[in-house]
Order: sequence, then structure tokens, then C-alpha cells
Amino acid sequence: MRTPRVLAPGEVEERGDFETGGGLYPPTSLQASPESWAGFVWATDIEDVLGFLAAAEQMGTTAGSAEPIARLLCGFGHSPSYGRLGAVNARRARERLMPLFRPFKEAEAVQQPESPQDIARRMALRAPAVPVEPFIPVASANAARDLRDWTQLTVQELAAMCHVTARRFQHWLQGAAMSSRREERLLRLRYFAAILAAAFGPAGARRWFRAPHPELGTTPIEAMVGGRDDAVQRLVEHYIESPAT
Amino acid sequence: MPLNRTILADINVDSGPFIVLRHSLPLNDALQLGPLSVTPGSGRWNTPEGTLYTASSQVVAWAEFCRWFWDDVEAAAPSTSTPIQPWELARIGSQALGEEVPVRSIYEIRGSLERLADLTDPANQMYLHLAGFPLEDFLSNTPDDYGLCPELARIGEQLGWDALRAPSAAWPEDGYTIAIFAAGRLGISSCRVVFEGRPTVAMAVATRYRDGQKPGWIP
Repeated sequence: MRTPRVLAPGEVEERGDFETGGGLYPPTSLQASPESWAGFVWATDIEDVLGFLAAAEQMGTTAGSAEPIARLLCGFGHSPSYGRLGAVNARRARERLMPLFRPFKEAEAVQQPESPQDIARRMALRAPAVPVEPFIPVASANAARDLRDWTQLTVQELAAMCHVTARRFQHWLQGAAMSSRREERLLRLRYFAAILAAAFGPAGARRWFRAPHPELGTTPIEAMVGGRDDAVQRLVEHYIESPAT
Repeated sequence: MPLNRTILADINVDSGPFIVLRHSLPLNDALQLGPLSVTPGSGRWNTPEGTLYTASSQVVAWAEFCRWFWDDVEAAAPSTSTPIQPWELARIGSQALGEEVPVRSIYEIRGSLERLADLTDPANQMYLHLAGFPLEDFLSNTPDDYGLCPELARIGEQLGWDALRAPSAAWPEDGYTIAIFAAGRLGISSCRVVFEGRPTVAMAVATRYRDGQKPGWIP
């Protein structure tokens, strides 16, 4: 570290690369108040600043000032603007300087040339995911009711996908019997609903059925109404796979 | 040119306990689907009986998730800026992706393998090279084209490999996929949920996507 020296009014000691330094203005200069010395220091480490303060205090005493260094203007690293510390003395500097150094060190870290992917990678390694409580569909004896509860679709929409009237679907909700062919279709739809509800929750399953899908060229509801069950099943079963690709 | 089976037979195999992670649909009683269910013929190391894909860490599991559900990640754009700006990433990177992305369980799978082929081992990579396997195929990035990876998996399974360990194409720097074949699944002793949730925005940005599948909001 360079030894602090007394500066002429308006003079600023040039910063040397990777070196701590600074200067002091006597009480009579424009930079200082009439009563006290002022100074500035640049450094990248708190210990260097404290070393400077100790040396400056000693210098002030040697120069005939009975006052401790009362005011210090601190510039940190490459920062063009000097933060003002106000009335401090060298012995209490640590506690005042530490919070000022923290943002400087963070700013210096941000100055590193990091790509968005580098930033994301660093953040992802720290927190790759956020906890979310999943919806767990539990099957009952009434498949029609499960389908309605797991998708939150209207009876009209569900009936259309099952190729029956809304009135008949209402009867199913109340436990009415159905043909094996219709039951097979209902159970297939419930299978889709169970996957989607586990993946997105009932509200998300409803959104999925209603939103146009690029691979279908329409909504899954419309595709089911049109008998394209296999195409819908392929999209739904995408969510039960976990391959490395 | 087909892979040289004789040279592949020289690849060293290891035995011992393992702990791996896997993302899966949350446990679903209604479907009778478990976290160890597999789909025959699916994925980079696909085999006729199905391969159980697992990861070396949670980050790798989530990267594979984002790569697989890339279109849902696309739909879950978290910002109005396209692509997302670095300052936005710093602000919202630790938030979860939106509800367009499915919730997933992360399972920790423990067990013991008799014949694990570690394809990240330099000596084994030399055999792969000599057998005609291009090492760049580990990270091939064309959708639905895994190069010679499926053929290597098929031959490896016939040679008695329980599982193989290879670089993860979704997290290539230091991520590994452990692909467990049917015989290796017999060595699984436990499987438990260790996390349930959605990946963060940062996770989606950091993932490596297949060509043409990188969501538009990711730089």
C-alpha cells in the first residue's frame, strides 16, 4: 500500500492498478471543512482501507493536527462516484465501511463478462426447482364423476367427448349403468384425465383440453368429438414418459 | 457401418451400489403408474423392453425434463422480453416456471448393479471409438435422431450390460445419464420421492435443447 500524502487543493492521486492508495486534504483546502482533514482512498479490500486510515491518522498527527481524520471520502475500485462517509474517525471506520464495501464487491462480480446461460447455470445449480404440491387423483367407483372432478369441464363438454347427450352423462354422474362400449370410452377418457390432472391439476387439465394444440390443429375436446382418440392419447401419454433425449 | 460387437465386448463393466434420480409424473393411484414404469423404444438409449432413464443429480434430471417438455417451457415464457434479458434473469431466475409446465416428482432410486458400462471412462471411450461409435453421438441434437446411441444400447444389453452411464445431452458439462436396462432394474432396492415441483426459470435457460426446440424466450 502506498503511504498517504498531503494533496494540493483539487489534486487527486491517480489510482495505480491493483494498488491501494489515497490522499489527504488539510483543513484549509477546498475539499475539507475548516476544522478537519478530509481524505479519499481507493482499495479493493477493507483491510487496506483500515491500513490507510491508520497511516492517515498518524500523518495527520505528525502534520500538527490534534484532530483525528474527521471526514473521509471513499472511492471504491473503479467507481467514478465517491460515497461520502460523513463524520467518522479511523477507529470506528470498520463498522461504517463494511456495508459500503458490500455493494461494491457485488457490483464488481456483476462486471464479470457472464453470458445469460452462465448466470442461469449458476442460479440453477443453487435452486433448480421450486416446490409445488401436486394433485393426486384418487379413483372412485364412478368414472364419470372422476372425469368431471379431474378436468373441471362442463357436462356438455364431457358428454360431447363421450359421444352421448348431456342428459345421459348426468345420469352417469348419478350412477346409472352404461353399455360396455360406452364404459370403455369413458374409462379411456378418465385415464387421460388422471394423467393431465396429476401433471397440471384439475384447472390445468381443463385448460389443456380447451386450448388448441398445434399437432391436432384444434382443441383436444374437438379432436375427441371427431373420434381422433389415438392422436389425443399420444399427446397425453407424453406426460408419463421421462426419457433422456 | 454397424458397430463392431467384438470390440464393444471389451468395454469394462463395474459393479456396486448406486443412487440416481429421476423425474416422473407424481404418484398416481388412479393409473397404477409408478416411478419405475418405462416405455419401450423411447429415448436416446431405447431398448425393446424399455429403458429406465435416471440422472446423476437433480439438476440433470430437471435439465432432461426441460429438454423433453420444451414446448411447455416455450408456453411458460416468464417475461415480456424475448429473449429474456440478463437483468430479468437475475430478478426472476429463481422463480418457478408457470402452470403451463407440468408438476413433477423427483425420485431417488437406490440399488446395486452387477454390470454397469461407464461410457464416460476414457478407456471405454477408446473402445467405443475403435468399435465405430462416434463420441459426438452422445450429444447429438437433431430431434428423433440419436445417432448410433440406440444401436449401442441394444448391443450393450445383449452383451449383458445392466446399465450404462453416459454424458447427458441436456446438461453436457458435468451431467450424466444412467440408463438402466431390464436386467439392471432387478437390482433396484428402493425408490422414494425427494422433491415435487416445477423447474425454475434459470433451470429452463441453462438447459441444452435439441436443434429447433429451444424456446423463443431463451437467449
